[in-house]
Amino acid sequence: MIGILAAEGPNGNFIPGDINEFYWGSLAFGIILGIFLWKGVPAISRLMKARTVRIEEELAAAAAQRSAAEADLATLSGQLGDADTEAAAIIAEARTQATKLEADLLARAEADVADAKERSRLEIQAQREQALNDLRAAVAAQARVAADAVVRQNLDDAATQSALIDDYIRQLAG
Amino acid sequence: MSDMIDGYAEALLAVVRAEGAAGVDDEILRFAQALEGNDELRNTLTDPYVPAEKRQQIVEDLLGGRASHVARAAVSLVVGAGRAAQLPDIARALAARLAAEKGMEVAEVRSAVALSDDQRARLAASLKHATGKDVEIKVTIDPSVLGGVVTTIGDTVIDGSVRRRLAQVKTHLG
Repeated sequence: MIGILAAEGPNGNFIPGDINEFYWGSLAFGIILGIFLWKGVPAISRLMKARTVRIEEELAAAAAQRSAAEADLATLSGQLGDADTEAAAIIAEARTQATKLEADLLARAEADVADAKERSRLEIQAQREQALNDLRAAVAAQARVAADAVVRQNLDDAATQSALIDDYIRQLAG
Repeated sequence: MSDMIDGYAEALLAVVRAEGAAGVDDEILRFAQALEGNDELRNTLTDPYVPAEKRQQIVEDLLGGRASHVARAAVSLVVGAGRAAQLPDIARALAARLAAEKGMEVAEVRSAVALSDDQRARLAASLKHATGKDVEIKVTIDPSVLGGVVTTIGDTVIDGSVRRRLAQVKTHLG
């Protein structure tokens, strides 16, 4: 390539123009390159290393944050799962309680109805017995009055009275 | 029997013996039984706020012409002394003493009607058969007996009255 460029040059050299410029230019370039390699490359290397370290640290922090976030997510997911389970348990317990309460209320209502029926039956029975007793008492009272009247009426005559005394005497005599 | 009743009975017995009045004990006993059966008369003659003279006048009014003067005096003495409430016991004690002098016991007989002499004799015989004792019958007319006879000898009561039978019937009737 350089030979082509030199063959094309007006001065017959492979570098057009003054060759000294080439030398001096190359020397200056070499000096600048040396300075660059001596001072700039290490600085750049340090900067790159620092940047690499910083990026690695940032990546590590990001990874840690991600892990923490994932842990939080797992925790939240777990808690959410626990909450769902707890909610399901509460709902199940509530259903159980509601069923039990319903059964209790039903049983109590049935018991109340049975008690009311029994009380009514006993009350009716008592009233019936009271009515019968009242009737018996009324009949007995009438019978006592009638017996008293009949006896007194039949004791009016002297013959009956005398006969009663004679009966008494005979009974004593045995 | 209290000493007081015994004392009055002994005093009246002495009067009867002195006067030799037959049937005085009967008259006193009938008055005493009338006193037992009449609340108004008993309350009046036992009332300490009624003067003794007034009570004795009542006795005279009731027995005047119906009893011997010995019986009237005896009853008046007891009532005037404020012992009308004890008169039945005193009369029974007197009758018992008089009967005992004859080797007999007093049989108080309550009947709704008077007994004939034949009935009295047969009743005395029957009572002797039943109790083994000779009895002197003291008859009291008591309409509450209704019919038949109630005999009391000491603490023994032989009730053959219609009143008792009627009471049994009434009890049976309820």
